[in-house]
Formats: sequence, C-alpha cells, structure tokens
Amino acid sequence: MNEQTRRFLVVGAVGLVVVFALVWSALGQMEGFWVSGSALGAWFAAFLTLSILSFLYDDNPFYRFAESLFIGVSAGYWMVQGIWQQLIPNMLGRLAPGFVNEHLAQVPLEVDPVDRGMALVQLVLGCLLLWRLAPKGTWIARWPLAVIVGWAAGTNLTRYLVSDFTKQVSPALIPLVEPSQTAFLGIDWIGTLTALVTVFGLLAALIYFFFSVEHKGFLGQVSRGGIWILMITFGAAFGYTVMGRIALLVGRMEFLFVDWLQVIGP
Amino acid sequence: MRRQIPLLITFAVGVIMLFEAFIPHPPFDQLNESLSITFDVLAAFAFVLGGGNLAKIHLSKISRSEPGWGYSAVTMAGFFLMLAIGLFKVGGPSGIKHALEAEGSWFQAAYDYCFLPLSATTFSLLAFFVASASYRAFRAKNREATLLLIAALIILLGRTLVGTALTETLPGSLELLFGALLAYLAWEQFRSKRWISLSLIGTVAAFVLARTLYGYLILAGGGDFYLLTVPDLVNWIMVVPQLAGQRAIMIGICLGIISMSLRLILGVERSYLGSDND
Repeated sequence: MNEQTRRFLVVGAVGLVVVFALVWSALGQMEGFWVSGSALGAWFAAFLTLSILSFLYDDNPFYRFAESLFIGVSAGYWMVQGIWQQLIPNMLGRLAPGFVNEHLAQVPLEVDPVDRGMALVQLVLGCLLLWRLAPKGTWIARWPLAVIVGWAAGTNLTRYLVSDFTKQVSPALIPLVEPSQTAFLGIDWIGTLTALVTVFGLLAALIYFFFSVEHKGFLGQVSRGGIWILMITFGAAFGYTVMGRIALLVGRMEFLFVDWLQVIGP
Repeated sequence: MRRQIPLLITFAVGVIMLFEAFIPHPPFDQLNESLSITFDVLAAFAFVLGGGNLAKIHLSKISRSEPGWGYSAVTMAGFFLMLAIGLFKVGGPSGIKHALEAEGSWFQAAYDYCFLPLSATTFSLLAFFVASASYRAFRAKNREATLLLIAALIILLGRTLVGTALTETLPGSLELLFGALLAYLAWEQFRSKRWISLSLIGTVAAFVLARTLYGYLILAGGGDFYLLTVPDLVNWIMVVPQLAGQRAIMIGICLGIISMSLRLILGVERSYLGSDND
C-alpha cells in the first residue's frame, strides 16, 4: 500500500466518524457542536483525541496537526502558569506590592526589605537568563544557570543523603528471624522469609551495582540474585506504567463514547 | 572569565547551601526558603525562555517557508492563543484579578478541551508502544526477562478485578501452580542427577502441594484455611522484593547524586556551561 492510499484511508476514516457524529447529533442522540460552547469544546476535544489516536495506524496530517498544536499549547500553558503562579506573586508582588494588589492579584502589602532585595536579585537573574534569546552575549545566561545548578547541587547533596540513603538503610536493618509464640519452632516462617528476602535482596542488588570487583565466583552468584531482585522491581514498575497508560486510554474512550457520542450511558 | 565566574557562583551557592544544612542559625536557616523561591522564580523565567526559544525557531521556519511550515504555524497559533487568553485572563468572572483556572475562563476551557485531551491521549498512546516495544525487547528470551514479565503480569492481574476473581473462583490455584513449577524443576534436577538441588526443591514442592491439599480438606469440612490470593501476592511482591530492589536503586541514585553534586560544586563537571562558542 503506497503512502497516498494510506493517507486517503486515514482521511476517509476520520470523514466517516465526522459524518456519523453529525447524523447522530442531527437525530438528537448527542449534542451537536452548534448547541453550546461546551458542546463545541467537546467536539474539538474529540477531534483532537481521534487525531492523536490515528497515529496507531500510521503517521498522517491529522496527527501532525494535533501534535504541533500540543507543542504550542503546552508551551503556552506552562509559560502562563509560571508567570501567574511565580513571577507575579513571588517577584513582582514583592517589588511593587501596591501595583500588583491593585491591578493583578492579591498579595501582602507589607514586604520585608530582605525579601524585596531577593526579588530584585531574582529579576536581575531572570533578565540575564532571558539574555539567551539575544543575538549576542548569550554567555551571560550562564550566571543565573550557575545559581540554579549551585543551589540544586548544594541542597540535593544533603537532602538525598537523608531521604535516599540513611532513611533507606535504617529500615532495612531488621532482625532476620521473626519470633512467634504460636508458630512451629517458635518462628514466624513467613515473616522470616520476608526479612531474609528484604535484607539479602537489598544487599544482592547493591552488590550488582558494585563494579569495582569482578562479578565471578560467590560474588557473581550474589550479583545474579541481585539481578533477579532488580528484574522483579522493573517488572512491577513496568506493570504499573502499563496500567497507568491503559487507565488514560480508558479515560479517553469513556470521553468519546460516554461524554461525546453518548452511545453509552454514564 | 566567561567560564570562571559561573564556576565561582556555582561553588559559592553550593557551599552556602551545604552550610545551611548543618547550621540551623540565622542567616543560614532562612537561606533555603528564599533561595528555594528564587529557584522557582528562575524556573518560571526558564519557561518564558523556552517559550521564546520555541517562537524564535518556529517563526523563522515560517518566514523562510521551510518544509512543514504549516505545522509550525499551527504550533505558533496554539502558543500565542494560549498565551493571550492566559495572560489577559480572557472570559473570567471578575476581570484580570480572578483565579487563572476560574470557572468560565477561556484558559480553563482551553485546558479542558485542548490541553487535557491532547496530553491524556498522547500518553495513553504510549500503552500500545510500551506493550509492543516490551514484547519485542523481552519476549522471555532468558530467565531475567521471564522474571520481569511474570512480575509485571502478576501486578497487572493483582491490581485488577481479574486477579481477585481468579483466586476467589479457584482457591489455591496459585499454590498448585507454584507447586507444579517446583515439581517440574525437581524433575529437571532428577534428570541431571543433581541430588542436593533435587532434595531441596523437592521438599519445598512437596510441602507446598501437601499444604494446599490439606487446605482443601479443611475447607471441604467447612473450616477456615488461608490460601494465597493474587492481590496478597502482589502486596508481598511490592513490600518485599520490589522494595528491596527499589531501595538498592535509590541508594545507587543517591550515591550518584552526591558524587555529581560534588563534581558540580568543585567545578569538575562543566557541561552545563555549554560550549565556548556561546
């Protein structure tokens, strides 16, 4: 099948869906796009959903249109969020609280001089960062970048040491044999197995990450056990990822068939 | 100078933040909060920079009528439209001072009818690609890949109604499956004449199967006996082997972050500065 035929098939399929939806709405089975603003929005959302899903067949102009729109809209969305959630209340609101309070957003009128000074520093650093768009002297944007990198390096070093190291090591140090008053031989066998897998699984996986010594002999066997533990971890993560994506797909199908076409009752 | 000053700034800010973690007294104790806000503000500036860069690239593509410039025009239309209705808070209930996501605002409508369907559908599309890519990549080629697939399958079964229904209608099916698998492994050991492995695996297989049969007898007599269910197995996987692996990964990441942070603070790592041509 050549490209032109494939493109024709996609356009034909989308055309059929549109004709079906128009007839369906003319029969009063669903809201036509001419009924209200929200109905028009739902039709547009359905068009975009179908355009993206059309990529499952092949690359086509509908998908490219939706993809291009997605890039533009998401860039605009995050830019607007950044301006209204951060720049205006946290920077402009501290530099000119009276003006912001009167014209833009509710911010505290009393501002600490230190905070005002910091807001001025933020403004200067922000302008230096935007200098990157200028045709010359883009190296100046490295200064605010250096502040960001220095801040992230300094805070992450201690923060991750606490959250991802000490707080992960201490709960792993548990008794390997769980006593029980009622169980066979006075040992809680399930609890003991759990403790053994937890502690030795952690050690084995860590040994797998330890590349300073060649993984052969006993170390190789333990490292192999570590790979198995890691495979189970990746399998669980993979399962959850697939589930999350399928949940999103179900959500989109629900939107198409329940909210838009209304062929299935809510 | 173009490279030395940023290195000096990174060193100074990094060391100050390190001091802040160990000195809980003024002015260090307030530094983290105000630098955290500065970080957020600079991140917002970075969004503006990203938007500006996007506009620069696509507008130049449109002006030169390069191939695919029509799609660039769509990108720019979406970008400027979103920017205009968001910055001026068009259609809101009380002018520009209302909340960005206020009911009836065009920004919220653009989010609901454009941004949300596009992002949700794009990410839902990944379900198909993840499935097909993993089929091609893993295909149970070796023991490790099989283990990964089995873990994923158990998680998928256990977190849906299928897993619950499976072990409710067929109690003990997991034990029987596990016992049969162990019996097969024991048979393999017998054929290879590995007597120690045979005795170990055979004992466990016999214990699992005997316990299951004993459980059936108790249940048939109207008694109460615990047999493993898929959701319970999922919980065990999540709390024990998965957690052990995740902890190992987190510890590994932490050590990586510490070494990278030190490299950045000490100026060994300089890739973030870009090339000298800038």
